Amino acid sequence: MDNWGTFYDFIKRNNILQGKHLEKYEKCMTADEKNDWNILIEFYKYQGYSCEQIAESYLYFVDMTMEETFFFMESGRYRYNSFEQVAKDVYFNPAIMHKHIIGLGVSQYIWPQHLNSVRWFKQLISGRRGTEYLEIGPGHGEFIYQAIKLSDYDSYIGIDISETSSELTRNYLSYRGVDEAKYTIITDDFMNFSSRDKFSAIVMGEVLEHVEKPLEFLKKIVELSDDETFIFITVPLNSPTKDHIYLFSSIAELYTMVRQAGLEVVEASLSTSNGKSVEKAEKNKETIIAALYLKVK
Amino acid sequence: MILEEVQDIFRDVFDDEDLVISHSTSADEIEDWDSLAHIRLVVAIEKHFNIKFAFKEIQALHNVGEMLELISNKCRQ
Repeated sequence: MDNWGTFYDFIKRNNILQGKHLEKYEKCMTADEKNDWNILIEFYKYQGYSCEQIAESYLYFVDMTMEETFFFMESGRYRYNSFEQVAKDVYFNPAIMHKHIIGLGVSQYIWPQHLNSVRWFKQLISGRRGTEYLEIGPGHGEFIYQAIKLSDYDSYIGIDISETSSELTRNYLSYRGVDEAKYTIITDDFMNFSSRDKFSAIVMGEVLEHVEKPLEFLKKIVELSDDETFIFITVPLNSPTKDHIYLFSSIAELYTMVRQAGLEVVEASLSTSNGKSVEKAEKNKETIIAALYLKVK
Repeated sequence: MILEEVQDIFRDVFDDEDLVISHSTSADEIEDWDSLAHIRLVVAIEKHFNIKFAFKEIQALHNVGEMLELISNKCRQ
């Protein structure tokens, strides 16, 4: 049985609703995306995980998300609101962090809201060129990989607060055959990062909801940018998971913060988790992923 | 009686006034019954019946009949 078959079989046996989801959304993936998904699974297998363990990590991620969704729908808030609360349980807990990153990585292809963001990013980054590309929180490595493949910057830098995450990013890029000379992955707090020069591109996929002061992160991005910098961020709204601490409740709230930071929205792509309209999802407080192409005002 | 009330909740969550459910109704019969809809259903049921589920209890629910049994148990507590 191939990877998809083994994965689907395990999921269907252990979670009927997720099995149903996979049946529906497999049809939405292009042949290239299925190939990329398969390479991701082969990468995790190369790291020492079996296909069943990968599926188990994905289900851990799903169950965790659903438990937090349950809490969110009952209470109207995320469970945690400080970095300290989640750091011990998630970021600096290698066993959990591995499952978390693997589950999140797999979801990039099989959750429509993530897939749509990746697709749009690939369209926007294709053919872009310049001096340095900076990615904040590369995590599973998919954005920075696609950026290196599709664009032509002189160098690519990733900065992540978790060493587990940084190591996974390096290992993924290496596995995908990316020349090590092209990129540097740093483990540090982005707020400590400095650079003499402005960046040609800054990318930040699903980071703002993990920090206590997202406005400060956006202002830091502005500091590192000039008028020509291509800025791409993705931000989930009403999206409870164990390590989301800042709740963006509406598109308007996010746009207001972006403007406060000194940025303007050039273009946006909004995706829901189940194909429902953005209006309906916002009304029901269901997850929307906002992918924003920004520039300095 | 509980079935009728739960049916109203299903109709509201799935935005389908003609939806008819029975004890055996499961996610196989309702296309939009996914993980997120499942959570929306149980939260709506909690609010309507003024009961509280544990997450593990709702994970184990596979059809309407199991939901009704759990609701009855909770209402008796």
